[in-house]
Amino acid sequence: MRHIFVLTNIWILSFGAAFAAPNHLNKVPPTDTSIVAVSQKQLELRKKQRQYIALLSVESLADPVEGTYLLQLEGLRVDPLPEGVYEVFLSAQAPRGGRFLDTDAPHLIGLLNLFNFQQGDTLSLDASEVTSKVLAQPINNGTLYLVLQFRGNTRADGKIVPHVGHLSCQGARLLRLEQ
Amino acid sequence: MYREKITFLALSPVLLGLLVLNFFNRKPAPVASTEAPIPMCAPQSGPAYPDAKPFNPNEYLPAAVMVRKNISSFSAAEITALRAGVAAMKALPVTDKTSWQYQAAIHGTTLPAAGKPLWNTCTHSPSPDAVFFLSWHRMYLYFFERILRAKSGDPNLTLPYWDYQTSAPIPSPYRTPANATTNSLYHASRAASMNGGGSLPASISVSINNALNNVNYMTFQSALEGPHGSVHVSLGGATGDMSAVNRAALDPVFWLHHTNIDRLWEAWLRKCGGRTNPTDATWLNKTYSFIDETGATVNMTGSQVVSTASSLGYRYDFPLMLPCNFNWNRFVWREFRPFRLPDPPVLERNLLLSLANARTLDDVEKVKQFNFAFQNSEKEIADQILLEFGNARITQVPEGVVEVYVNLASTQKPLPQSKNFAGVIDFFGNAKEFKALRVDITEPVKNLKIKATELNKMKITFVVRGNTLNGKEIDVRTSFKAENMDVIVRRGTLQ
Repeated sequence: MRHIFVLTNIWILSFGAAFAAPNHLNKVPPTDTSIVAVSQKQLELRKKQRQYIALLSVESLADPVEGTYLLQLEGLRVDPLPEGVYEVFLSAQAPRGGRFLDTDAPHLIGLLNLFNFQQGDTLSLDASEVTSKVLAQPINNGTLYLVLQFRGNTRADGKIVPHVGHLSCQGARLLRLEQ
Repeated sequence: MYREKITFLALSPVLLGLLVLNFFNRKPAPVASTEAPIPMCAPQSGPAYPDAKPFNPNEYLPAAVMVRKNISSFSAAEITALRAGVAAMKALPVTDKTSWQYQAAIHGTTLPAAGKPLWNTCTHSPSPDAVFFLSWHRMYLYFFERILRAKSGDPNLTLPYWDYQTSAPIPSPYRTPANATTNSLYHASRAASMNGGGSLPASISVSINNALNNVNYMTFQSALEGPHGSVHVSLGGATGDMSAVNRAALDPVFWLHHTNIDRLWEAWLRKCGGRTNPTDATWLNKTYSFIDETGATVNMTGSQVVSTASSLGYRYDFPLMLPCNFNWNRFVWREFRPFRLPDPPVLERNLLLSLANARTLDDVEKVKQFNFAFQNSEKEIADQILLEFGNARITQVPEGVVEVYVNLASTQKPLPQSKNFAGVIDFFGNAKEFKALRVDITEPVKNLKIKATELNKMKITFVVRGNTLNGKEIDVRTSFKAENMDVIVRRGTLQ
C-alpha cells in the first residue's frame, strides 16, 4: 500500500489541473508537462493495413529541445491481439508513399506493450531520445509524423504474418516532462 | 515518506510518468461482449506472507555457483531432465504448491484465488508494483528453478534461457515433437507462426538494445518491459496463453523467456558506464513470498537478489569479466612455482604426463595454503594456473594443434567441449625455441574443483589433433621437447 500512497501523492502533486486540448482528448494531462504536439483526429490501423500515419500538430517547443518526452496513445483498442508487434515511429518528414519503415530506423520510439493491456487503456512510451533528435530538425508546417506500423512474425516459410486485427486510439499526444 | 517521494522522483521521472499516467488513466474498459477481461497484476497485499520464513542464503546456497545456460547449448541429457521436471510438476494437482498450475498461478490465474494470497501477484505495468518488475521475476524464477530441479532428478539442472536476439524461432525442444503428452515443453496454445518454427519480429531485438543503452536502472527496467511484453504477445498471438498475464506462466516457453529477461538485467550491468542496481531502501526492502521445493513459503527481499552468484548461487554463461570499477594498477601479480617435472619425454603424438613424479619447489608450502579464487571482484582477481615448458624446442610443427587436457580419464574421449579441456599449445610464429612456453589450465582446474594441495596429482594429456581434410582428420606428428614442465600459480594481490 505504501507505494500506491507514494505514487498517489506524486500524482496529486504533479498531475492536478486540466488545460486546453482537442475535443477528442478529454483526459487530464499532468500539470508538470507541456504539450509538444497533438493529433487532430483518431488513429486507426485497419485489417490488412500495415501502416497508419498520424499528423501531430506542434503546439510548443522548448529551447533547448533535448528533454524528457512521453508519447501517450489514449483510449487504445486492439482486437485481436497481434501475432507480431506494433512499432511506433516519430519523424519530422512524411514517410515516402507508405514505405515500410526499417526496424533499426533512428525514428523508432518503441513497441506497443500489449501484455497486461486492457481495452481503452492509455499507453505511454518514453520518446525522449527520438523526440530530441526529431525536434532538432526543421519542422515543416508545424507537423510531426507519427507512424504506427504492424510487423508480423515471420513464418517458417519466410512469409510474414499479415495484419488481421484492428487498432484504434482516440488520439496521440506528445508531452514534455518538465524537470 | 517525503524522502521516499524524492528518491523515487530522482530515480526516474520518466518511469513515474509512465506508471502514474497509465495507472490513473485506466478507466473501466467498455469491453465488447466478445472480449474477455484480462485481470491486471495486483500488488501483493501486505508486506509479505505473514507465516513465511525469511530467506536465508546459507540454507539455500549450492556447493558451487551454478550456471544458467543458453537452451541451444543444452545436451540431450539436460533436455531430458528438463522435460522430466516439467512433466513431474504438471502431474501434480493444483493443491500442491510445487505443482505447475500452482506456480503459474503465482504469476496470474483464471482460477478462483480466494485464500491464495500468493496468486496473481506478478508485477507488470500499469501496476504500481511494476517498479519491482525485474526483482519480483528474479525471485519467482529462483524458487521455480529449485522446484524444477528437485522434480527433474538432476541436481545440476538450471533454468535455460532463450536468447531471441540471436535465434528468433522458439527453440526446437519446445516445439517438437508437437505433442504435449510426449513432450512436456510443447504447448499448443501459441501463435501458429511461432509453433510452426517462425521468428519473432526483428524490432523486438532493436528495442531490447535500446533499453540496454539506458543507464538509470528504473528507466532501463521500464524500457525493457516493453519488448518483454511484445515477446509475450508475439508468442501468444490473439488467443495464446503467453498473451495473457493470467495464463502466461502455463506455457513452458514463459520460463525460457523470463530467464532471458533476467539474463538481460545482468547484461545491462555488464555494460558498466555507471549502471548500478537500486540502492533505495524501499526497493531493497520490498519483500515478496514464494514457495520453495519443500512447499514452504519463503519471504525474499530485493536486497537478496542483487547479486545472483553470492546470494542465489547462480550466474549466467557470460565470459568472465573484470568488475566495472576494476583498477589493474591496484594489483601486483606474484607467481608461485610449487612443482617441476624434469625432463618430460618428447611429445610426438598423444602423450600422458603425470605430475605424481614431479619435484617439489620452494613455493610448495605457500601454495598448499591457497584456497583458489576463480571469480574477479573489486578486491580480488581470479587466480591463474599455468603449465610452463622451460627451454622448449619444436623441430616438427604439427599440421594441426596440440590440445591439452587435465585429468582426462582413460575411458574418456578427448573433446574440447569437456570440462577437462584447457586449450592448445600456442606455436604461433616461426620460433623453434622457446625460453618459456605457457599453457593456461585455469578452466579445467576450476571446473574439476582441483585444490591447491592436489596440483601434484594432476594428469596432463596432450592430444596431437590433425587438421580435417575432406571430412577426415589427417594423421600428424610433432616433435616437441622441453627441459622441464613447471606448474605455476599466478595470484594478483591488492597493493
